[in-house]
Amino acid sequence: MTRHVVIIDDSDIDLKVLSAAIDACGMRASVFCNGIDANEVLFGEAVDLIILDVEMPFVHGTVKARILKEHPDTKDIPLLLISGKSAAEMQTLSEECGADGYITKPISRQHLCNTLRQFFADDQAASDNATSC
Amino acid sequence: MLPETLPGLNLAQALERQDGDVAFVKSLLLVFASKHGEVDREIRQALSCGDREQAIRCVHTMKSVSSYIGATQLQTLATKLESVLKEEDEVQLKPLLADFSTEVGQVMASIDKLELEPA
Repeated sequence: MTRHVVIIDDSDIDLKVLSAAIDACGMRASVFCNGIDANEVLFGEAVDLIILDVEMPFVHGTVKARILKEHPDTKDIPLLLISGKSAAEMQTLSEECGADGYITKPISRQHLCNTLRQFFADDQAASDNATSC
Repeated sequence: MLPETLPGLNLAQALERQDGDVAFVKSLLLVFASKHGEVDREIRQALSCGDREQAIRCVHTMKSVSSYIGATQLQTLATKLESVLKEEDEVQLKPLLADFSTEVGQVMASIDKLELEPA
């Protein structure tokens, strides 16, 4: 089944780069320039992963992450933060808002594909282990 | 085909990030030209309205946007400008913003030149 990835980023070029990379690795991308517009898909469709930009106007990415991680309908959807901040800053932010990981910009098409494939493989393995216990 | 470099643009680096997809990199350059070509003016306007947060957001966005089109010097300047804005270092701000504007102009001129070249 084709993985469905929701990307939320206020930068048009970043959205274009990320969605092209997701298409190239055989997944489906839904793109939004703010977290509020994304709600219809996040709460109305099956979503396999959320990629959420940190620095956004109106609702900051970490605030949106907390909202999604506290809501019963979205708390189990894996969520990766993305930003041009340093890895150390991103690690701290991810832990603080309950995100499942982070990606630092800029990212190459190949690197994003590899990251997502690895992420889904690990997620599947964790799920299989949980089922077998 | 794209030239490997143009003033302000390392197109080889941009292409490498996008698996050599020339049409895609060209489309990124066009988006940059149409949506971000006046970013320096937007930053100045935000600062003149006292909206430093908006200025920082513009510069922060420029950090990743410039990297995707291979505008390495612009990316470096955006990174410095973001620090200066956050630290409220008014002494450094003016010359850095001037350099940033010059670099945006350089990148825009290179995109313009690229667009005029036959495909």
